[in-house]
Amino acid sequence: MKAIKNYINGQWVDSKSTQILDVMNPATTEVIARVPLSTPDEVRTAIEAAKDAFWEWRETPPLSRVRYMFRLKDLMEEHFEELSRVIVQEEGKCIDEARGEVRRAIEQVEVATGIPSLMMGYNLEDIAMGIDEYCVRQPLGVFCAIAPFNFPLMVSLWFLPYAVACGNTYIVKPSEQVPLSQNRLFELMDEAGFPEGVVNLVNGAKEVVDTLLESPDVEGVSFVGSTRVGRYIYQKAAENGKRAQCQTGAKNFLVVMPDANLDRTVASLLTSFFGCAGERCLSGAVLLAVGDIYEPLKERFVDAASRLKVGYGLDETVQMGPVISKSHMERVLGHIEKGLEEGAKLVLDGRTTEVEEYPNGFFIGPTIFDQVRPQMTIANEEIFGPVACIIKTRDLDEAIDIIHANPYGNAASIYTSSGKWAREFNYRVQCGNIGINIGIVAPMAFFPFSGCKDSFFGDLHGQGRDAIDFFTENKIVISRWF
Amino acid sequence: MELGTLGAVLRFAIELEGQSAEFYQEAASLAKHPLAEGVLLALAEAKRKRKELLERSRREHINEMLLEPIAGLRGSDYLIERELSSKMSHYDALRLAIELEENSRRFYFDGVGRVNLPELTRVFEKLGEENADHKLRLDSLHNKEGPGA
Repeated sequence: MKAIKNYINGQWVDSKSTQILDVMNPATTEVIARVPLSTPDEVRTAIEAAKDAFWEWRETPPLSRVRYMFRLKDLMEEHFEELSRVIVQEEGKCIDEARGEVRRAIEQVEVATGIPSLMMGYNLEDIAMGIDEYCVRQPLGVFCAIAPFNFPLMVSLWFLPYAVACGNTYIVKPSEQVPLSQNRLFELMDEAGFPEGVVNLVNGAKEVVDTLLESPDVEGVSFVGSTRVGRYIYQKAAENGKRAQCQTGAKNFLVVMPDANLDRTVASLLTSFFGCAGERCLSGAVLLAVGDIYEPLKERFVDAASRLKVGYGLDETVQMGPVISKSHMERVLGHIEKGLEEGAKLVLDGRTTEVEEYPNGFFIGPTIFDQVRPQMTIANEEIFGPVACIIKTRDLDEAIDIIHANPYGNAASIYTSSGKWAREFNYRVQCGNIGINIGIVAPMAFFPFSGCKDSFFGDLHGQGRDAIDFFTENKIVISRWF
Repeated sequence: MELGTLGAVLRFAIELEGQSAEFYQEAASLAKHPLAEGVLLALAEAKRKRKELLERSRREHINEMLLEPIAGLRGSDYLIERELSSKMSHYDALRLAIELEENSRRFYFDGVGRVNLPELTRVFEKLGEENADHKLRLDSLHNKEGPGA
């Protein structure tokens, strides 16, 4: 049984905590590791190490800093399959989904290798006669990431490579449900030879988060998770004078117009609603079928979803894995019950799905509700499971009204063959990420992962140019020589 | 063996290329003259490279799992029924190799319309065309040698 350690100041150290949690494979329910909930003192040690390492790291030329990133990228490529399998074992997603996650994680490191160009400032001669002005971007100090369970490897890398390549030092607190991928990632970072204290890993839960947020030596925090926790972190970070970017919950609406290509649309919808068992903030949640396409779309969608193979993600033929835990499964099942109570019609019932080899696994099959009304709980609250809700709408205006009535603003998509409708949707919909005939609007590393309303708290998003702005301070120099 | 997902198709393809490399390596040891041995060793090397190409494609091109089921691809339809044996004549080994190339060509061309990922479609087309080329080379060798060779 693997006992997870912290990685502080370039050393693997056992936590002194007496609070230890089991890490469970959600498909087999086997306990695969034990993770400590680190103490505040251990967090403070990590902060101290990161603070001590900052100045020397900050003075290291950017080109030298990114060489560590090149090494990390190579190591991640070399261990690609191993990392993918670790993700499946701790999180439950399918092996191809895990490979996708590792690929997306590597892309972040690849983009961060461009920091010597990306963090350049700008200048202007003669702002007045004989006076020049320039702007430089400088790193700030210690940053941290508080990561969710659903992408155990990737999410910390939405932030860490940019922060560190810009000259900051870093602390990651992974989800206590899935600490293994980060543990392996930090082993690779250790192998890549990052100087002591530049990257640190502290396992734990709320106490770790609070210690990070209350420390005057932490400059900023990046968080991905629920809206409830994100709001808390944003407020606490602000109270403590920190930068914060909190990517939070979602309820994503997918609009299918009458002129959509049905074959391609259904295929895309399957991935959007049921990929990663619906446990991602970009998953489709509500299908808005406009006009006459409603009946044929529903029929095809339900039929295709009913044929998805559910099981243990290490089996290459499996298309959907379990949800993360028993308690999360109960929460998703509770939403399904709520949908029935509120009068929605269950046209595909995933509650009856059984996986013979793993009878205790946290499996819920694809579930589809029809005749959903926008006011229902299942149409409004984030379920974070493989549950789709279908609402028939009269026209695009009604569909957009429904989207806007929802508090979240993470992603929305339209399926259509009409450029006019697509533009109308893209122009009007208040969401951070818009898909046009795309069901999972996952921005690439060189674009910001956007989001608005209750799906994001902060000003600068993760990834892309926003990341450079978040992890640096602009300094203005105005000079005149006598 | 139903290949119902992209992952299963790619896994089959990778295994197919690995087995093909081993097949040619072994077939080369049965060759009766250096020309044939050279051709078979070159094919073994080509199969190893194809395996690497597929592994790389799996690593680099799948950044989103496609849940659209893949229908109509059964692995068993593309495997050769007999195994290579040291007791086999060189001529029979060549016939088996030709069968292997033909089955592999059919697999990749059948897969082209089903994998629904442009990057992979391109790879499958390339591999299928290579199989056709390999088969021509083997046909030529086979015709030169005849059953008594």
